[in-house]
Amino acid sequence: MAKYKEIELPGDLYYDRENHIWAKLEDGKIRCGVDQFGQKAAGSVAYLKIKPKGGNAIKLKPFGTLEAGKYIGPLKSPVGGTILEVNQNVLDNPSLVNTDPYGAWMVLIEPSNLEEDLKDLVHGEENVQKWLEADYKKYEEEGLFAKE
Amino acid sequence: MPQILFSAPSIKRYETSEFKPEGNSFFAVSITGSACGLKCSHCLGKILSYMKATTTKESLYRFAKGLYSRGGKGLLVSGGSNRNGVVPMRPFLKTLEKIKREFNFKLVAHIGILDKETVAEIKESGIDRVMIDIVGSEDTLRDVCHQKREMADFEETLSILCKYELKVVPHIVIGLDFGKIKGEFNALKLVCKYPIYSLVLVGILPLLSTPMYGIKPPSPEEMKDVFIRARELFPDKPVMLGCTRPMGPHKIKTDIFALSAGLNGIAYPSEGIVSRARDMGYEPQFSEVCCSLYEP
Repeated sequence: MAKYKEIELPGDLYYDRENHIWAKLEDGKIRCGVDQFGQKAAGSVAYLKIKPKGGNAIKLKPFGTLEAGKYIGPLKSPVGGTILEVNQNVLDNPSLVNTDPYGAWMVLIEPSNLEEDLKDLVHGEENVQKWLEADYKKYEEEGLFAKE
Repeated sequence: MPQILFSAPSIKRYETSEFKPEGNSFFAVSITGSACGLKCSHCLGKILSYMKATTTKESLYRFAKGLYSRGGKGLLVSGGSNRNGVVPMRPFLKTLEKIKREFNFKLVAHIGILDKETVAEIKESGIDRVMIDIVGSEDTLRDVCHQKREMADFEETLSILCKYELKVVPHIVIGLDFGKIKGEFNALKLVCKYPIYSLVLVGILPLLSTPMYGIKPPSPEEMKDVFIRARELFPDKPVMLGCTRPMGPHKIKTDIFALSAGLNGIAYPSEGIVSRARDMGYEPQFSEVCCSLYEP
């Protein structure tokens, strides 16, 4: 588990470094959501919209949108593929993104180019720790965090 | 072709397929951090916590200098009120004057109750716009904003600000009283007696962990009624739909009503609103600073 201040990023997950989307590899499929750092930067999440099951997930293109106190914008897919499942519970209760970021998965994707796509994600406790610390300091200095 | 302003200051990170600001242009700082003596029911200081805390003159200057080095263009300076409804802005005014001089920043101050001496100092500091929340119901002021002050006190501040010829931008929160329309039309009537620079309308956003979480906000149709009345009362002043309002499908509908009511600008427009504005014959303008800085 990478940890810095109040943020915890599980070391077994993969992360999109720009968009703070976590990705969990499950039998060749990818489950993803917003990581704890991302939810802290977004503030209270008020609304989520996610592409329906069967839709295309295009790497670094939106699979949905998120509206929160400090962020209004796309949720970008960490991998390309097809959306197999959408978490209706998080759509109905968007604040789960804040209260349980790793339980609040958003989509399960059948990847089309998994091996290549994973190369662009941060993985491994040491790498995640370094990235977390550097990004935290940047966000703090630039006033990008919502302090709950 | 009439113009309409779409603004997205970097107070929030924002991106749609129609408008993607570069970021780092215009931030909000709180000179009290998340501390507030009023803890209004819709906020509990949470909105302040979304701002960069600069609680000393040194930290304010340091943040402004860093922002300037990253290409920043200005600051919204806000803070919590004390129990008397006063945002303690005065000790920071000389620093703001210096920031303006050195970095050529656009500065917007969100204030509460002020006396003449402080208004004179604000004028001297060169602050570009002064924002003040106007509530049109004594009940709402007392029960939601926990103010000991009355509407007349806020009107007095508005009057002094205008007397000193500051560019005043009152804010009216639609649905502030737990989602009900209560003093909004009264607030419009109060404000229209003064030579304000522009008017900003925002909608209540029920925030998590506040007493307003889960309330039903005013419907887009109710918000539209306020937009239309504001447009009637301020035919020659910019009237903007500001940073905050309920989100999701509500926001899309509200933004469409703002267009049809002829408001002059929309902050953080919903996806599709820019193209809809074009279809309605507007010429969109884009800004990465606070909508109060709009110059028609």
